[in-house]
Amino acid sequence: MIFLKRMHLKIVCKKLLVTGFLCLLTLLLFSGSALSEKNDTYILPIPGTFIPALNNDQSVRYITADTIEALFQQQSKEFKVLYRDRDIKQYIIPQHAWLKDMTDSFLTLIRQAKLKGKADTWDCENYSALLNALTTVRIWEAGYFDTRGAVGWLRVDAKKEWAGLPGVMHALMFAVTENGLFIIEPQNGQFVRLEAYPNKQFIQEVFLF
Amino acid sequence: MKMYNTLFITTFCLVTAFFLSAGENSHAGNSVELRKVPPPEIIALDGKAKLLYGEFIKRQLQKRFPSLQDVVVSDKRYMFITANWFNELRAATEDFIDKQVPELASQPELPAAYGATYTMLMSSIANIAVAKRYKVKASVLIGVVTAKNNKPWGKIKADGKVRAYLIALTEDGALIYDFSTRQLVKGKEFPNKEYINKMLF
Repeated sequence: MIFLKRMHLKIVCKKLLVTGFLCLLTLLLFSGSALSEKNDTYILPIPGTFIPALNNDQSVRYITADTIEALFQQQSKEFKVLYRDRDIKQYIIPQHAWLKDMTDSFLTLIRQAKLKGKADTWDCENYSALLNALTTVRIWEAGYFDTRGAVGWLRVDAKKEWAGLPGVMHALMFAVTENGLFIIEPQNGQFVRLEAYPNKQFIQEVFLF
Repeated sequence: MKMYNTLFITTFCLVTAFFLSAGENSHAGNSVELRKVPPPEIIALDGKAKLLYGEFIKRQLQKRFPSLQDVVVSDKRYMFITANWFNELRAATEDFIDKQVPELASQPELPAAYGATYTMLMSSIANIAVAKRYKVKASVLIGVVTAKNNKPWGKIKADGKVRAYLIALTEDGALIYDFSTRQLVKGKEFPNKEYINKMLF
């Protein structure tokens, strides 16, 4: 009798094991493998509501284009120009943690859409421009219509490898947060402070729109 | 003992699977729908995509528009798309922005940086669609053009201010699109073509 009970339990356990394995396999195969889609739409992941950086008095922090330009000028000997929208007087500073969330959801999007770099059609500039645009849309969604984020993209004649990408002419994203000015590789979400970016002196053009 | 091991492994597998799936879909609560864009319609010449070099476009534009002070060209080569696909891209971009920011409709005017952001989104949608379907080393020409608003155009009064528009290269030549009034015109017929001062694509 005990032997039969043990046999029955063994069979149940085996069944459980097989079910568990199949569940795991199914989840691994289907989670994040492609963009969820309905018949005529794609479902895109987006981060939480935009959160701005705050001053000590809890007011929202802003920065001017001139200040951003000066930060690049200080660090880059090859800096040529900062393109800006003259209608915008000051740029809202995102909270660092929110910007990380934004970048993470962008990485989820490119992974789910199976986006891979393709010379001239979908390359570094496109990654940077798309992350930049999506960030701005999230800022509007939070009701900040009269400004845009202190985020943009830049061109650098990189000489040294960084974030797993070789030293070539490259486009990257940048953002000012409460922790400083950061260079961001939108293809893998790596962040580095401008001061610590190995190619900082080769940044040539900055686009603040 | 063996039985407990089996149970433990099964539970571990299920818990791991749960967390893996939760991690992957951590943004599942926050999502937005993007309308599918129909397959790209690019113009072909002798069985290959019809292309123009960025530097060639830049020189042509500078010759054609003496008022043009600045032209920033990002890519080496550009392709032509159909006017029909251009309209599909426009609809998809507007649909995306409207769904993400429904309050925009009640705003008295478009937000700051609307033109540049719209252009980057539309260009991204177009280039992703092309990159996923064709092996062509060129990008869709969708950019921003600014011009002094010296002559009226439809709903836009002449106020002498610099205004930004979207520009795209299609089978019909350049198309100029105004973001706020949603007016569209061929480049040749654009009333303020003599006052174009900047282009970025």
